Amino acid sequence: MKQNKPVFSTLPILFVSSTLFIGLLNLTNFLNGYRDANIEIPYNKQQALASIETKYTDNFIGKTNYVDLNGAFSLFLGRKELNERFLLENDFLTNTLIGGPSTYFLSYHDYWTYTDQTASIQNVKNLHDYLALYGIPYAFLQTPHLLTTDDDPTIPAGYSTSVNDNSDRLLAGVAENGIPSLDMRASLQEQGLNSFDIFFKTDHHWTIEGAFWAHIQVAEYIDDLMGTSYANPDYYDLANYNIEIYENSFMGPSGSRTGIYYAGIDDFSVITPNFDTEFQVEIPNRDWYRTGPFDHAMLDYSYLENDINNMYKQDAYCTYLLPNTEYVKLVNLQATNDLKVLLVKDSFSMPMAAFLSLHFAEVHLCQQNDHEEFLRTLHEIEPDVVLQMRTAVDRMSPQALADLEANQPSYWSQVQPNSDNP
Amino acid sequence: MVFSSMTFLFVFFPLVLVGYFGIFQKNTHRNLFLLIASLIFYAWGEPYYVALMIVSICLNFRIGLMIDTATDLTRKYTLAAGIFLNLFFLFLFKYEGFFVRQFNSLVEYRVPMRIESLNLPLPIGISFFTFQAISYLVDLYRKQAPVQKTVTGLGLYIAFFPQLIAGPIVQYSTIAQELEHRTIKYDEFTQGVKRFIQGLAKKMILANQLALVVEESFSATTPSVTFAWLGAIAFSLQIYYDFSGYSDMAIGMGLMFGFHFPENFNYSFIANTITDFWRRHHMSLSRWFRDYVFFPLGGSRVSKPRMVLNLLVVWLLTGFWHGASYQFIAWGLFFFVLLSFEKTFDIPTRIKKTPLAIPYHVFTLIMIIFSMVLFGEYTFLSAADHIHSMLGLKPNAPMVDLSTIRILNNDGIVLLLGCIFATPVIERLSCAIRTKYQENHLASSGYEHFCTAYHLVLFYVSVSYLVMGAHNPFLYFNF
Repeated sequence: MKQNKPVFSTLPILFVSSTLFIGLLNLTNFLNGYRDANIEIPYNKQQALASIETKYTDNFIGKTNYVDLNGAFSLFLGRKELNERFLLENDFLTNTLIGGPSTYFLSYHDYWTYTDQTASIQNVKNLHDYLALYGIPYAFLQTPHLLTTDDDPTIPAGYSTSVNDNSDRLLAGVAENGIPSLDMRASLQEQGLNSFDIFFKTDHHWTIEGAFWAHIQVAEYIDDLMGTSYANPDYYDLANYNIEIYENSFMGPSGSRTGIYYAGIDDFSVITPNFDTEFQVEIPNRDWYRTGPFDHAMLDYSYLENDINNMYKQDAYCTYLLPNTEYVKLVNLQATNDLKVLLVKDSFSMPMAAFLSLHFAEVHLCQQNDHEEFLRTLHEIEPDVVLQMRTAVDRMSPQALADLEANQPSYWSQVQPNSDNP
Repeated sequence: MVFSSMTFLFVFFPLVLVGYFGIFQKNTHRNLFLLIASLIFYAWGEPYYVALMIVSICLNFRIGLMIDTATDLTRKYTLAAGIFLNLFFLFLFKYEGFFVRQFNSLVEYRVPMRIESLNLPLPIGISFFTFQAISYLVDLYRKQAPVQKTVTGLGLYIAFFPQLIAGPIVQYSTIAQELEHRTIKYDEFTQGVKRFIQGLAKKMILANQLALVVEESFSATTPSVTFAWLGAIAFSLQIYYDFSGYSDMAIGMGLMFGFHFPENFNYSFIANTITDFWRRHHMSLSRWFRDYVFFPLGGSRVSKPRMVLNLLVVWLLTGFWHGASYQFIAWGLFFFVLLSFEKTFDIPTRIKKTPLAIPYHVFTLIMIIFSMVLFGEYTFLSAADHIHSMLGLKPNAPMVDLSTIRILNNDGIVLLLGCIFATPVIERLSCAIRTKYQENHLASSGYEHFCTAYHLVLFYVSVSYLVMGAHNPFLYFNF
């Protein structure tokens, strides 16, 4: 039998050269990790070594390509869960949370998985009661979840969610305490919409169109609550806005955790008024002080750099009023009313607040993470109405609140004014 | 340092390859370089115990020389002293705490006395390198291998990084010659790269993903019957891929550096009998116990009661080698009972080519899965509880629950791939293709290119799991 000469394999050459090349490319990264670990953890050698590996991996050159590859391979394996994210049947990504032994919930926030909503209801009631002492109206805003119903057909077998059921329980508790609330989930259903119409696929936030839709619900609700008609219905019409669509330019945190092939890419819209506006915007912790038209005062276009590699680091969602803000003041210099709205904020609120500020004199956003700072800001602003988003209610966890109460008994009563000094 | 780490793959290993092939040419220099690299490798995970490793190397080197030059009588005592010293280190670090606990619990009701344990952390891989050191001394005593004349050579045998931490346990006589003279062939280097990548992929793509199923099933308080079985099957596959993956990487790296390590796994789950299973699973440990314990005790060429006693000794030690706990002793005894049954009644021969072969194969598989639960569960009681669930004996436990459906939905393909690759189907297919086209150069070349692409994809996908920070413990590091 004729025997051919053995076939030459290029595998060793490719393998060795690629490990060498990748190793060299990341050598500085490794040395930096080594140096930092020894500086940061000099007393625990093993912990320092673990830290080197973590830093090396975190800063690995081309990391996003590996994330993409892993996402593609996970799709090949038919995996629904990847890196704490879950792929619904319609390719939207949501978070997975383990809610007790072997029970997986699809929910962004673990508080939403609590069957017992007492702590959240108490948080809402605390703020409501406190504001009532000053005669400031308060309303609770229940934002839609990505899954419109708990038995949504996009949830595959074996998974469950109870976020809507729990929200119903929370709203019932809020109502029992005589606290006004707006259930945006109901508004969505009444208008024949679905959460998937207003949410990104790759992010847990609503889209800019979704935020625009939400601002209409909130503006109308404020007028109802206050018995005013300050909101301008002309501003509800998207025909009065410029809509610029940046196609395939947005990858939210869920997308950047799972890669482009697993998650896909979203379009990102920038909606700006095509009528005259004049705003004064202050974001002290980001050193952002701007006066001018809506887009100049509120939008940072640098977050929209349409570069695929940039998408993993840069969050286009922050185009509206920047990321990681503590306190934001939006003053509508052309407002025809003097209503001051305070929105207890979270990241959901940002683009919605930008649109809301078109209707009212002042919209203030602050977070409740630090209660003392929150109360100081509240008294400085002296708002006419305070709204709190569902997503902002549990910013201070029930445990943190309990700790606060333990250290400072009757925390809320301490900061309440004396009856003769209202 | 573990093989499945970015630091190993892109810093340590490329540097060792460059040093080994690019800088050093003489075998003695290469041995010294590999020894230093191995000590750095060990120090990366055990910065303090590297001293223990060096002491162990020096002591065994000295004892080896003494055995070589001693008279017949003193050879025996020197060997005994050497084995005692090695086992003393093992005892001190691995078993001292266990025995102190047993002693305290025995005497606490009788005398007001309590011994404090030293609570020394377990040096990684101590069971493996201790057994290799003993192998050196015994092989030398039996004159099956020449004495190692350089401390570097012996150091490399004991501490060589590919097999240092989790085997395979290489008997000294196997590689004594290669420590002195070895040649590296391109074809073997290619095979080495392939084995290394296959091992890495087994670990990252299969074992680590199966581990997530296992964690969930083993931590469930009242799993359904199917979920308990899923967990047990997933763990059996996980430990197979985890450990055989590690062995593949070790064997692969050995080939790259010119060493031929013994095989450690040969499709464990296709075993027809328990005897067959231990010829396929963790083969280097079975060989070690066979050659250094079972045969010296008389093996099976003795009376049946004596053979059973020999088996009892071997399996008690095997269980105890895996860990200082009653759980591992019970695991060892479990196999002792099964193997004694098979050997006493000569089951492997009796069922061969009979209709009983298939049901016995199924029985074997089920016993292996039960043994894996005993091996992998957190405690002996939790293992018993899990087996209880598997047998449907737990009240209120349903046959199927949502977790089963979810796991099958999410991890079904990984489980399926795990089952397929645990059989030789793919290897036989690959062999068949190679044989069919070996005369057609174009087809052979195309197939080789396909293999290259396949292995590179496996490598980069494995790296992608590392980058994603996937769940990454090597199970056999605990031993």
